[in-house]
Amino acid sequence: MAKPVESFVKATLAKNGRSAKLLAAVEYGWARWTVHPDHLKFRRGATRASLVWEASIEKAVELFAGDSGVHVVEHFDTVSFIFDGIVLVRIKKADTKLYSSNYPTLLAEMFHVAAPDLFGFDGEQRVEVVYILNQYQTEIAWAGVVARDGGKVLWNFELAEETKPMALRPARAKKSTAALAKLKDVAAGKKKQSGE
Amino acid sequence: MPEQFNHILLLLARQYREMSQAAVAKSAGLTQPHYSRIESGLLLDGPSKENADRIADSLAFPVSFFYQPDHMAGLPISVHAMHRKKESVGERELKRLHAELNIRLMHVRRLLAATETEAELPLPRFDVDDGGGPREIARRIRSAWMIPPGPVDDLTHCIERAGILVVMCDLDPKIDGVTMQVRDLPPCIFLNKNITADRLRFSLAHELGHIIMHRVPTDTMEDEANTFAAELLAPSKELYRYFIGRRITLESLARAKAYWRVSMQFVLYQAKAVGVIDHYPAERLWRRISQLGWRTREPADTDFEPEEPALFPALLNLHTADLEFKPGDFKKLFHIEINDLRELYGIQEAGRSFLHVVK
Repeated sequence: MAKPVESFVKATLAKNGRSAKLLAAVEYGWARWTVHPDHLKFRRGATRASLVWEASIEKAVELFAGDSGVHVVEHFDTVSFIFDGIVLVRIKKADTKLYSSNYPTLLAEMFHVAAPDLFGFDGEQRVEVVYILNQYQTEIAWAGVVARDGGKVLWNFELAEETKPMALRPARAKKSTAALAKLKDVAAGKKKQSGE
Repeated sequence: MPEQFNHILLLLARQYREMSQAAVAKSAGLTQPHYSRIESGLLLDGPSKENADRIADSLAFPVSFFYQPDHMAGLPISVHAMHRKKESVGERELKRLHAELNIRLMHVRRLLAATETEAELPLPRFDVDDGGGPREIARRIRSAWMIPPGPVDDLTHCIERAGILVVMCDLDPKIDGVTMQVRDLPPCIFLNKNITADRLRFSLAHELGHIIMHRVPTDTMEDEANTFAAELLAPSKELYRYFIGRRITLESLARAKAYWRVSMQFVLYQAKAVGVIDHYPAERLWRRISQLGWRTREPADTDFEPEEPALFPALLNLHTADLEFKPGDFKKLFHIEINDLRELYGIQEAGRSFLHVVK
């Protein structure tokens, strides 16, 4: 595997609205969780993560069905998406430091190591699409793409930013509040002049 | 000059000069009991003209000062900075502050006799519980004032647009800012011009919280105003997102300070509150900040430019520019001496006929 290159991954995911679809898949997964009849009763965070993951994957598979450049790969107990034969993406929940947590199987640990190729593909760039919940775990605070090299986060970008058209805040000249101070007599004088 | 000697103003003038009754009496050549009766308003006709002149001289006020009809406002409801270091602010400093604020309010009243201010933004008042708590109230204010997500660009500007006067003063170092709300004047926030820009902004947001949420003092009002200020300056939801994928170090706190325009300690405190840093890493940073002596003064390299009020200076400038006030006119309007005029407002004569309003 090659170390993931941010510009390359961005460009790959920008094709065919892939970034937007990944975001939509994650948001769908979360939305499905929030309407699960037992979502307020479940005790383990892992249950939530699993249910969000299942629904997200289901949606992503559906959304990428018409994209010939996306290959859905089912491994043992997980699913990855390979874009244009190079960018391998998996969907995970992460903490605010952008780290997803996994049971440390050999495969899980190798996912973020650059050298080995995995899943029978050569030279893929492996990244994660992660979602991060807010402080009270009531909604998704951030969803984006994260690349790691072992324990180090190489780079990240937010999917929402990628999918939104760039909106620049219009530069507005700030009117000084000095203009809010007036002479009383001037106002009265003007009224007088206009015959009010 | 009205006939009635206003003994309340005598008390204010004495406290403003931080003099004892004995000192004023001695300087004016009066016995202390007699002076005390004058200050307490026990002389039905007030002091004789001669004694009034002597007292005025002793206190370095024009005698006309004591013949104004103003009432005295109580200590401000907002005592945030004083509360924080209540023990270290002495009775004498509090009395001096009380006197100065009352004198300044009289000046605002005089300035607004010929001028007026217009509010462009609403200034809603909320009961803390009915409004959903300080955080929710701060969010509502951001929304009502159409403050876009992210840092508040110029809080002073927003506050002035809501019709609040912000006045920079040379307050006791232990006091960051205070708010005075009296019936016949717009709310006035007096800020210590000697504190750093980040503290100024927090104090301003804190004082705004008092204006919006508090009519009477309560045990929880300072905490509520702090929470309001925090949410106004850096909404918890946005701060949480800001820190996603960032390591919290002294360097990143400095960057966050520049971005949010608040102190590094504010950022660290809030980062812990919203859960983007764990207890032990946060404690390590607090210890480091203490070791570096940044608790009281964060490094100058991280300072940003303080915000400048424009509305209150505009009231002074309207008098100088449009009404052609000279220092002598201000002296008469405010009934104070030129030294006080310079100290309070930076108004002074340069050469013969120039007038500078520098604050």
